[in-house]
Formats: sequence, structure tokens, C-alpha cells
Amino acid sequence: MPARLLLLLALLVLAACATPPQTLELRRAPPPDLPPRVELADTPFYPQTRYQCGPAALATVLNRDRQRITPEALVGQVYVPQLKGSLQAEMIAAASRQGMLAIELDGRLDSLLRELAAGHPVLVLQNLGFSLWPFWHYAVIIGYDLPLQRLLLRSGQTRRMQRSFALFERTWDRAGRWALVITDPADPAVSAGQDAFVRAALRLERSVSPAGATAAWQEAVRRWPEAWLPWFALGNGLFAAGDPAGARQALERAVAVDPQRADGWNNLAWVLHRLGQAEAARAAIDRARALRPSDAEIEDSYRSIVGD
Amino acid sequence: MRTLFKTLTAALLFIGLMPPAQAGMIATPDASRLPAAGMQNAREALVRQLTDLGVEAAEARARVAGLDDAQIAELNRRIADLPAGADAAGILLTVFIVFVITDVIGATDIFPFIHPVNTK
Repeated sequence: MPARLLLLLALLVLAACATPPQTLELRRAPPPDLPPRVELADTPFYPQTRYQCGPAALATVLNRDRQRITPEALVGQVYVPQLKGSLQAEMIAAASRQGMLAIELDGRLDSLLRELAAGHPVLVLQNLGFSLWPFWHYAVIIGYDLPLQRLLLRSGQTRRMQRSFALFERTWDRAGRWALVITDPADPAVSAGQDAFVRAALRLERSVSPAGATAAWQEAVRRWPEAWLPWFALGNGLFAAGDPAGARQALERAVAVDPQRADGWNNLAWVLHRLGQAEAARAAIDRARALRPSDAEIEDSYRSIVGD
Repeated sequence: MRTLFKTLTAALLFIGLMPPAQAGMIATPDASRLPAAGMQNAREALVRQLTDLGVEAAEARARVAGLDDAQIAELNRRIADLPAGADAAGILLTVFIVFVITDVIGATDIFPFIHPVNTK
């Protein structure tokens, strides 16, 4: 029996000594465009009370620039009593409820560094224990030191925790390398992939209003001008915000990017109709009808727009 | 008083000018090809799961409202197996000793005050 235990420990030591892959990559080739050191020292700190690292970590990023909500108020929004913790999806939803854009990152260590260099603290989930014996924990990364290979965190009851890239990567990897950047919609995560960005903006629309996500869509069309959905969403948002002229421009870009999407033509027709452009509105709704003949929604639009 | 009246009128005019959500406009989520059918049931199921786990009913509904369809589906499927961040309080003594050792060798990171000997 002791032999087995010894073997287990030996295996653990070996596993711990092996440098994890992303740390190795950063050590071999540190990204030359990143500053060597970053510390977002003005990030607030909320020491967690028992089991409540979720609300504390969430308050840390939500109140980065000004006080929006207390950790106590967040307990009601993310804490699940019987699980003695907070679920990732609910952390995201709580951020959206505050009108903030919450984007999941791609699981790369250098993306975390890129966000920090852009002034965004990063909320992470770690498994501090083992895969079979997990200790889930939320913390906020507020800085890094590339030459020393260290991260700085607001974590638990520690205001300025230092952890090596290697140790952090192990605990992060065991939690699925989950990281979240929560910002004002006008200043989204710089490393965001298009899908993660679009999902975040749609969640914000659902939680706040179509007009509430307009700033996020503005940034999306700047980053991915060849994608249809951001132009379409921006048009809808501007229209809901009372800017039909801006909505027209955005929807015209949408139908130019993908002329095969009937939704784009349908909404453009409504906007042109609102602007009093009867001819153009009719041409647009005709395009929609040609693409989706006998579609109930589009036929309704046709009757309303051409009928009056 | 007069200024207040002017402000109110301006505010009312502004509200009046805001177009209502246009009935015939297709909403962005509907066009983004996310599955929608049957989602109402899924949302209600999740509200029940959350209340079973000790969340107040009104709060459970507000929480679920902020989730997108993919999140609802995943939570419904395996809410109890998903990670829920907590902390390391309440570990038994024997387990405590094991984790002190694994913390020292840098395999785990349970105790913030322990720094691994191997800080590669």
C-alpha cells in the first residue's frame, strides 16, 4: 500500500514538473508586441466570504471603472445555495444584466495577456484541486510579468496574488481554460473571436434592449466588415434607438454583404418605408419575397408596406 | 415651472418620436439561426431546477431570462455536474495534508499561502 502511495506521489511530482505547453510556448517565443509588464493596479478588490468567490470576482470586474453593484447584491444573481457556488453561464448573464458586454475568450494564455495589455482584467475559472477531486474557484487576473513568467491576481482573500504561468496554466487547464472579459459595450475584448463576440452582443440585446447593444455592433462591423449579422443587428439597433437614417446605412451594407438573406431586405424595406421612400421600400420587399416566396412574415410586411 | 414644463414637453416629444419596435421587423436573434422552438419549456424547466437548488423563484426567472438558448440547453442537461466556483474551506485534516503536499510540488493550488518549490 505505501508503495502504491509513493508511486502516486512520484507520478504527481513528474506531472507537476513538466512545464505545460502554453507556458513553454510563451517562454520560447514571448509575443514581441506585448509590453513586458502590466498591472491594472486600480482594479478594486473584494475579499470573498465563504463559498462566494463568484460574486466577489464578478464585482471586481464589473466595478472596474465605477461602482455598479456590490458583491452582496450579486450573490442573489449568481449564487446557487445547494451547489455552494456560481455557474459560469450565470456569471455571464449577471454581467449582461448590468448592461456590460461579457465575451468568453479562446482559452489561449497569450489572449489573457493581450486583454491585460489592453486594460481589461480577466475573470477566470480555475480548478485548484484535481480533475477527479475538483476545487472550483473564480479569480481575476489583473497583470503579468513576462520576464518573470508570473501572473498577478485578485483571488479569494488575497489582494495581490502572484502565480507562475506554469502553475496557473495547470489549474486553468483543469477548468476548461475558461476566461471572460467584461467591458463597456464600446470597448470589447480585443482578442475576441467573431462567434464569441456575436453571442455576447446577442445576450446583451436580450438582457437590456436592441438599442443597448448598438455600441457593440458598431465595433463588430469595424472588426468584421464582411460578416452579415453584425450589419443586420446594427441596423435593427439603430432603428430601435430612433435613428432610421443610420439604420438604413447599416442595412444597406447588410444586403450588400449577403444579398441572399431575405431578413435583411425585409428590414431594409421597413426602414425605407419609415423614411418615406416608397419606391425603394417596394423594391426591397420585392427582393425579400423573391428569396422567400409565400413566407408569412414577409407577406405581412409586403401588405403593410405596399398597402398603405 | 415654465422650464420644467418645457423639459417635460421635450421629453414627451422625444419619446413620441422614438419608433415603437416595428411589428414587421425581423429581430436579430430570430435571424441568427439559434434554435428557438420549444425553448419556452426549456426555460421553465431550468427555473424549476434552480428553485430546487435553493434559488428564490422570482430571482430564478430573472436569471434564466438573461441566458441564451445554448446556455439554457447546457444547464438543463447537466447543471449538477457543471463547475461552480466555491472555496477550499472545510477540507478534512487528512485531505488537508495531502493537498499541502500536492500544493508544495505545484500540482494543485488550494492554499494561497503555499508557494510550490518548483516555480518553473
